[in-house]
Amino acid sequence: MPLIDIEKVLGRLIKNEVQFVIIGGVATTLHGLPHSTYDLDICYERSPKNIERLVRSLRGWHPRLRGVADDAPFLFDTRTILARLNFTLTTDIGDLDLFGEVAGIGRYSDVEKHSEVMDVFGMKCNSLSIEGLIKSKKATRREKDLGVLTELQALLEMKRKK
Amino acid sequence: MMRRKHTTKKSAIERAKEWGIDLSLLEENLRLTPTERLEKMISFQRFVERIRAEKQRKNRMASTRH
Repeated sequence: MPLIDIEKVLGRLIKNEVQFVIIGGVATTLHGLPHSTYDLDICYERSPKNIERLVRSLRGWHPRLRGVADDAPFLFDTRTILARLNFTLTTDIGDLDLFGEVAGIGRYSDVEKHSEVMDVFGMKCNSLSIEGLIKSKKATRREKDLGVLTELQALLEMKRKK
Repeated sequence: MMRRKHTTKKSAIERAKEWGIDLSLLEENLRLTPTERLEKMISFQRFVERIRAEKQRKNRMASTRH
């Protein structure tokens, strides 16, 4: 499994003016959690125009469903993305998950409200805030997230004290 | 008369310490920019990948010898 080329993906999405927010493991890393993640999770805005831009940005890296046989029928196009919300994909440059909504927060417009602009490789990107990440981790109530939730809460407290 | 149980709410930092979370790692990361934090993660992953590839190479060599 190749490591996702985060810089390349973000660069392409921004160049094509896709509306998205970085969520998940990469967002926690951007805020300072010392964790490792192999994929990039984004929440995308679900208007046909934005989905068209998203598809145009990623198509060249041949996105296909992760964990599904290579010959399974899957067409990465606007129609497919419009028909469903969330996609766990593998691409030529790594794994990428697309979310139409985030647990505990909602769809893109709500996720955007819980995001902050960060400078990532010289690009201005929206990333889910620490408060937003805490909210979503609380909503999923997964046992594996309890440690991360505790860390995020401590990180928030440390930042507020500074 | 009812007695009120005295409880002190622990701070998030205290709770994290109890979990065994190394707060010095968080402090260190807070001194970095978001890009530097990502680069640090990427460099660690590449290091792990190199070790994994080396281990696989050694295993392959060992199996061809037998």
